[in-house]
Amino acid sequence: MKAPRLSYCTIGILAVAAGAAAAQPVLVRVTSETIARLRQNDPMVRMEKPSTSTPPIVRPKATALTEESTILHDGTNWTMVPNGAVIHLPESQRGHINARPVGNLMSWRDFLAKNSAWLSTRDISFDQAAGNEKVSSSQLAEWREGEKIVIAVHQKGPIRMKLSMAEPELSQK
Amino acid sequence: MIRQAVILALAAPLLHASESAVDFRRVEVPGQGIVWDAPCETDPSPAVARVFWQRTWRLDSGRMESPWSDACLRGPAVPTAAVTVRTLDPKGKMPRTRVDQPFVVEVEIGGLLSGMDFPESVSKVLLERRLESAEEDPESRRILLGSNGLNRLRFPASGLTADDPTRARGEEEFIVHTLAGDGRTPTRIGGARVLVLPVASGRIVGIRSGDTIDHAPQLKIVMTDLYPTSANRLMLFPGSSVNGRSGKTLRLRTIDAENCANVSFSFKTLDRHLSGDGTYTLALISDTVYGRELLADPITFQVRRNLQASADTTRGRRGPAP
Repeated sequence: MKAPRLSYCTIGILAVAAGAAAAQPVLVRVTSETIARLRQNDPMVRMEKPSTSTPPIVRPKATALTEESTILHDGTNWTMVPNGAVIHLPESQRGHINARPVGNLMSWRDFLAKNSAWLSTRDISFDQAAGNEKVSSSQLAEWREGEKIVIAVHQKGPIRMKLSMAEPELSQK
Repeated sequence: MIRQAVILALAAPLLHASESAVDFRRVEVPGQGIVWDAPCETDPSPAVARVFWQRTWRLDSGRMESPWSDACLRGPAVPTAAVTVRTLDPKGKMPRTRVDQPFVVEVEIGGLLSGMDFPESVSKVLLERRLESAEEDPESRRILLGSNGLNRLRFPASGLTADDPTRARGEEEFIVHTLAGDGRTPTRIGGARVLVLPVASGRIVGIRSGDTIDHAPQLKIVMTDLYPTSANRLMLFPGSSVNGRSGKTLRLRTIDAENCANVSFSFKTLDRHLSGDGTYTLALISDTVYGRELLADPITFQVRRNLQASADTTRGRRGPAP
């Protein structure tokens, strides 16, 4: 059986492809001088700089959320709410608060849904959270009834209550 | 039905074991004591309706102590800034580049006032370039930006420094600050980071350029700071040149990690690949997203079999180099 004949064009294409795949050009090694030369074109060198009268920047601290939060856990799962968000903490439920967080981290929403047997919420406004609008003592007493932990929320998100409103011993954290 | 129940029962432990990350968005209103964990699905600005400080975390049980991943001041009359870093490396969980490679920083600004002689506090923002080298103290460089819209800055190389500039590594962070602060509340309104990795290098130990051998020595190969997703080869070329030649891969090491990696190994079978007397070149070559590069100077050597028989007439070295 005769072998198929290749055209000269096909042979040339195959030869170039084989050569290109095998002999890819190698770049020159990078040197310190190369980098120094590149940095001369830094765009910030030519742009307007702040003057001495420009207000100072204030840099935020790189904090962990656990440092600013109250931990809630059910023995398997845990979540966090802002310090001061716990309005009512019955004695019988103290074991659910501020233990070392172990197990599965959940969102507040999922944790609440899973633990509604001992966890509940009360919706407050920003003004109430800031203490600009007082919560009546009767309202507060009503919130602090029962054997469930009560968390202050705004639009379903936990919110810190003004210091005097929240559970005193937790508010000192 | 029974079959489906069995499948679900077997899969349940796996589903429970694969914990997914949880997002938290904490909003604080300066001066009012409001601290609120806002729902992450919607923009909290309409609900807050005042200037607020927002931080976000993405956490799981293994990373519960991680610092916030983003933080910015927001609200009425506060300019907005979205910062994006674009590099030549398309992979990586965060933007990633090499110290000698260019990258672009895009800053999309909104809310600045212009057209009249407004004070800087409402007409400009400050862009801070924070250089966090592994070997040096952090350094900060700052400029002012005064245009709404997209501001694009092309950096030809990283600004990180080290005793050997090619080995510099660390992170650069580009942060936009409002100039309308109260001196206490953080002024950050946007930012982005880029991971900067060093240039890789290598060594072939056991043979030197100019050696003449009758049998191949055992080699030790050391490759340092190999770039993520790179393919790194010990190659043998006929002749004294690497470029324009078709070489043979003696050993291949690929790096499948988010950061640089070091590799070392012994190579004892060079003899099998030497087809006869003549000139050969060994090279360490790395293929990265930036191209094909040498990790070290190539080593060109001569092979002359039966050196002992011709030792009286030639002065070639025998055996492996010291």
